[in-house]
Amino acid sequence: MTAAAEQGGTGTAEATRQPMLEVDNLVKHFPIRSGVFFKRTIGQVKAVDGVSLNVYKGQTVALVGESGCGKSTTARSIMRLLEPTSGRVTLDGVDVTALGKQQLRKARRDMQIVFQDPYASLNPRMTIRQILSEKYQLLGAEVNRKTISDLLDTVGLAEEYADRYPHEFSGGQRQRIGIARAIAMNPKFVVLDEPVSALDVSIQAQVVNLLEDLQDELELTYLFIAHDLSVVRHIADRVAVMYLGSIVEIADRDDLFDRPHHPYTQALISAVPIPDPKLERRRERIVLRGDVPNPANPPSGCRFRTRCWKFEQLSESDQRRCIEEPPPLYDVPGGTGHQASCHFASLREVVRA
Amino acid sequence: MTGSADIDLDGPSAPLLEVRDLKVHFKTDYGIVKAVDGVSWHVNEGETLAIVGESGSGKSVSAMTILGLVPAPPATFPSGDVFLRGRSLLKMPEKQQRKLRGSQISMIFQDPLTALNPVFRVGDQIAEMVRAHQDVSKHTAKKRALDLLGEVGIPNPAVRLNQYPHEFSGGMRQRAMIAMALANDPHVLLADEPTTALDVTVQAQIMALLEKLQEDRNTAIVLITHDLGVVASYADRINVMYAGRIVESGTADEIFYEPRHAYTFGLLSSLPRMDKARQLRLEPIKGIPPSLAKVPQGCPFNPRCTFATDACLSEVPALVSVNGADHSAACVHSDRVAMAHEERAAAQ
Repeated sequence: MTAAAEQGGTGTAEATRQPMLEVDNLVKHFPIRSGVFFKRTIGQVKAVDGVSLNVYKGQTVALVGESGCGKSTTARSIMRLLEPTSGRVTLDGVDVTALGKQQLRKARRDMQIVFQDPYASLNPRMTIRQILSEKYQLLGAEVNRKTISDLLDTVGLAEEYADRYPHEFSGGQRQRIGIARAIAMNPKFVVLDEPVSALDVSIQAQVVNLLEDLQDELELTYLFIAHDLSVVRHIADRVAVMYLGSIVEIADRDDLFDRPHHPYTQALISAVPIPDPKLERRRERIVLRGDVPNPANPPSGCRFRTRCWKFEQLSESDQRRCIEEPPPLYDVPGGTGHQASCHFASLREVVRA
Repeated sequence: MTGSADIDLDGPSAPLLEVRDLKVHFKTDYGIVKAVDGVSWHVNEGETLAIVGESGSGKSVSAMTILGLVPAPPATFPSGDVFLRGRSLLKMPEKQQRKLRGSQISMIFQDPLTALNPVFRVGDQIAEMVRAHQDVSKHTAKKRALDLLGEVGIPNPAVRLNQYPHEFSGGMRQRAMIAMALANDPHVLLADEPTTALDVTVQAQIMALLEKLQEDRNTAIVLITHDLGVVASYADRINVMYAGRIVESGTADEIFYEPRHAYTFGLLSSLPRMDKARQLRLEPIKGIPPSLAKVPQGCPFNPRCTFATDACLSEVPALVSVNGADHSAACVHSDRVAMAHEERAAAQ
């Protein structure tokens, strides 16, 4: 069977099993420094501010949100490409946040990343063989001619490509090489940071299918970072929506798209145009006001309230609650593991209405 | 009004903007790159025409040519012309063309950060645009810039007027670009991927703004994009481009519900849909788009096409009407494509 059919079932009923990846209250703040001779810290950019999520084996969790919401920083902090300010990350029972430098390097075998820009993430002076072999050498594994040709074959590239340079490939092929590099050492967990955003529509589907086949074949666990919700609906089992450094809603895929409860999720989904003119003519878009606030100085209480369409409709006393009290992630009734951080969360149909 | 054009734009006869058999070729070391190879389209007042295609299909080059932004050499123009209300733009003396650019026809670019000058205040850049085409004082131009910033929905326009582009967010910059494009009340707005660099919620804001402006001013919009969702929501008519040619042309409904070219069909089938529960598998188009220096013989899409037969190899199919009206496709197998599409639609 295809990857799609198999992993479709692994979405929910796994509360008993140990998650492959556990992220607990992850925080990443960047200091803002000022001064000519003596740098003083004058503030903090709260890029990630308390993110918790679980990813089960063979599952794909998507992290979605607009630029600057902290989704990439979250992924990089999980992998310790950025040192988290606080919080705990456990990968297959190993506390990644507690590892020393040497141990971390070994642990990197198990966690890999595919970057968005296949043009910038491959060294232009190295052949594909060198790029891929480097991986094995760095992590102390054996590599020979067959390893590389098998690896290329896995991602759908012919062996004779191995001695070419990155500039000789198209965007889609480069992304395949990026994927080959990530899966080379049979990792347990792969971060896919906008892996298809830079690709043309006709190529995007090829790479999405490849990612699904590999997941099926190698039992990979994905954290999929994206802003394109159409791809997310296709590839993810669970979806977490981020806004200004926090998760505002998390649910199983169909639950999130068909029964969104947070006003931001609703606005986000309603803003995505669907390639269906008749449907588009009757769909109503929730147009948010203004821009995302500065994460160095986020609004008090609920961070979304400055742009929230629902906030405007609330009574003054209810509005005060949004201003003063940061909403926790409330359980959404009727959903399995569906949570939304809004004091006044309620269902609003936005995909087809 | 601007007073710069000698063209009678109120004459009813010809389409507002028409491109006829336009070819733009580039001489390179790898051979002649036929970026645009015989493209014709037109757009009228209040109408949105979308030009859809993947990177390298020639969709931007045709728009740039209209504004004289394609340097020659290396470009050559073996044939074709652009007409604004029936008058040839390309045959006009350079000086006269200059007057029309930015006043009758203006353009919004994809990347507002590189399109704005980083060392000048946003207000001054808009005022410069006003003064380039209208004989007004600096003060009046600045005041006009202020009004424009307000009109495109920038909060605190008086403050924003004196700021630099780096102080604007991405969405704000795109609004400033739109303000600049509107400075001289153009009749035609060429929008080249106006929202590609933006987040969806900001995209919704910008597209709503363009729709409102179009309604108020009856502007013709040429929307150049690769995003089929945006096209479905905002376009009246659509031209699908592949390898420098238009392969299918029709209304939005015709393109989405009755595609007649194998490429259009392939594109629609490969899209993941947000409104549908998961398909088992996406159906990608195999292969990659051709290099424009080495376009395949015959139908340029044939090596990637699932419908291709020997009939596709000899000649480039002409764009012919497929059902009487304006819906046309350049595909030998448009009947088979129609049947395949119906089967697909029925299966869903």
